Amino acid sequence: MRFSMIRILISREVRRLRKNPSALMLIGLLAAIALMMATSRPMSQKPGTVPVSSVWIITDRSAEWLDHLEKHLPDRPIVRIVDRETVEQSRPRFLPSEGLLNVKHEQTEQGLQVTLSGRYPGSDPKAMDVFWEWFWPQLLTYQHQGLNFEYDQTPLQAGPRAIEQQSVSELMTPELVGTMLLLIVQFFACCHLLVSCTSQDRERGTLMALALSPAHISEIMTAKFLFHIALSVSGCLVIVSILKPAALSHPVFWIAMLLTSTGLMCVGLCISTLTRSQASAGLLALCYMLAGAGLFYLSTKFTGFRLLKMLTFESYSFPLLYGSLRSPERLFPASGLTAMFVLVAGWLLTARHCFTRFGWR
Amino acid sequence: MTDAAIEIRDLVVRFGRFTAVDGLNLDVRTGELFGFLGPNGAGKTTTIRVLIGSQRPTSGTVTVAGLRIPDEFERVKPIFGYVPDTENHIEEFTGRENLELFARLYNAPLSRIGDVLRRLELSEAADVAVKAYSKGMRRKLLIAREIIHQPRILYLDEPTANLDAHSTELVRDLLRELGAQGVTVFLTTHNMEEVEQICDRVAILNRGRLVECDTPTRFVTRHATREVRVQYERDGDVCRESLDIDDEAGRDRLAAIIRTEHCVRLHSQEFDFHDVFLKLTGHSYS
Repeated sequence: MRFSMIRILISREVRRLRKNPSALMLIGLLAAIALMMATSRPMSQKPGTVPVSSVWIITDRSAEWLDHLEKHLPDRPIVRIVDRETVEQSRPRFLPSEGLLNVKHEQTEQGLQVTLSGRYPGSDPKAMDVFWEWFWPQLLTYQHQGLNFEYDQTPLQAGPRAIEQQSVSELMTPELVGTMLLLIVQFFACCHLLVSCTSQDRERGTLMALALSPAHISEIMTAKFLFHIALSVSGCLVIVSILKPAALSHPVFWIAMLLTSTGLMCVGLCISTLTRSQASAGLLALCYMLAGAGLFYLSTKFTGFRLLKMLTFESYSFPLLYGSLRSPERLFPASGLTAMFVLVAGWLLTARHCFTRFGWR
Repeated sequence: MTDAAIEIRDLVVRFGRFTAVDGLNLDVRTGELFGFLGPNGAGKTTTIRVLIGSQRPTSGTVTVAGLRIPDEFERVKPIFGYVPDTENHIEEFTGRENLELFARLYNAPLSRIGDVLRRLELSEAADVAVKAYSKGMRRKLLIAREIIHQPRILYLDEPTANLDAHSTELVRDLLRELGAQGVTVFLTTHNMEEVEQICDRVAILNRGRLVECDTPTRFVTRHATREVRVQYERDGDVCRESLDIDDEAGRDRLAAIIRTEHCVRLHSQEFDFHDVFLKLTGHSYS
């Protein structure tokens, strides 16, 4: 491996990118998103009213007034009237944007007593106002008929059911968005851009010309890797230094980032080796990304896919990067890093074999 | 010890059941301008691919400048230049930047860039991006790129394709000059005139097999027919005859026709490389 040769090849990649700077624009755009998030964080963290999207009315028996409600359901919020037994059997998950109304019927000397326990989302009882504006007027007739309603309201968090799922808006913490931005930058710089440049070189025959020059195939591959990893690291550094500068001092962040970048470059090199044109290579890279996303979703539903997901290095890089951004001091990543290292090493060997054997031809 | 720059022994290249090169044996001497001819699909490009190391042979041995291909591929790379039939420039770069990159890779002096640009009359367009070049300019830049490191062996696939008459002469002169400097030039072409004009030796390949390999002069001696074609009128009809003037009967018949008939056309059959090529490759339509 000759450093002088690698330097010439890297300078060629840099000059090429300089002549066609559109590739840098996406990284710039992602950095701008990070900057906007960092500067607008105080606003997004301010406690406020979470508007109720739907309300569950859970009842212990059927009643005429409930039938009336069922016939006069509002457009907003969405109201569902369900039987308590059904709820307990199916155990639905309540989102923080959903409200809850427990209904209990009790026969007393004064007549039928109805106890309502309302549970509101977030920390503001006013979130349920839109529901009450519809609910109470519907019951006026029944109140006049002697039906007694007792009403008590508490936050949803205090209810018997724990929140098992968070809403998208609550999930969008700076750490999570930061992790997603990091992965997008890495996928773009290390996989998509590498695939695009390499397959273009291959299609035009430039790669063959370089391979027939005194530069070794391994030197061409190393130069490509170093250039794309530098681009990826620069993009990641900009994003992390804006969003979570503290993570930069944690080795897990660096190791996870470098391993992810290397893995993605290997995937990219294999893709450009398998395809003959830039267009088909770009399409295959996109398919890889979509297949990855599909696998991540399916692994939450089927055990077979969970096993398959464990064989992808991305499944380790996401939690490791997220953990290193969120609370690196509580991160114990030995097994994750080891698995990721093994998988990336496997990809590296495959990419090297493919590229040196037929990737440049 | 032999002075052969390229030695090919029993070369076989198969792609599945298709045999592209079938037992080829060839020696190309150092400093020779060697023409490699053959119809489409004859195996010329496959042979060049084996020579430059981008195609592994199925069997046989190939030695370039005493180095075995593909085992010593990395050692042979700085020795040769390869001008492919399609351009493979870095389109975003200017002509000078393309040459600069390859000069650096070959560790050639950057001062040679100006020389080769001048030699191929590309100085004026040197600082223009290659994507703005015409086909002919691209072709010349490709040749410039491959001679910048002063290779000992130069492979050219259709070197004068897409070139105008002036540029064609320029390239032919350059190739003659390189040959005189001791550079081995191995070129494939379909241009028979080019072969006759510049090649020291010519090999004709057909269906992966070597049909004939000799100097253009010997080709002329061997394949030129001393024949006269005569066309004359008799009773309003047009008659044609081909007469072998090496044969006494043929000569007598010719004399008789000239004496007694009304000759319309009379011409000698000269050597035509094109015809010879067609005859040897089994595509003759005579």
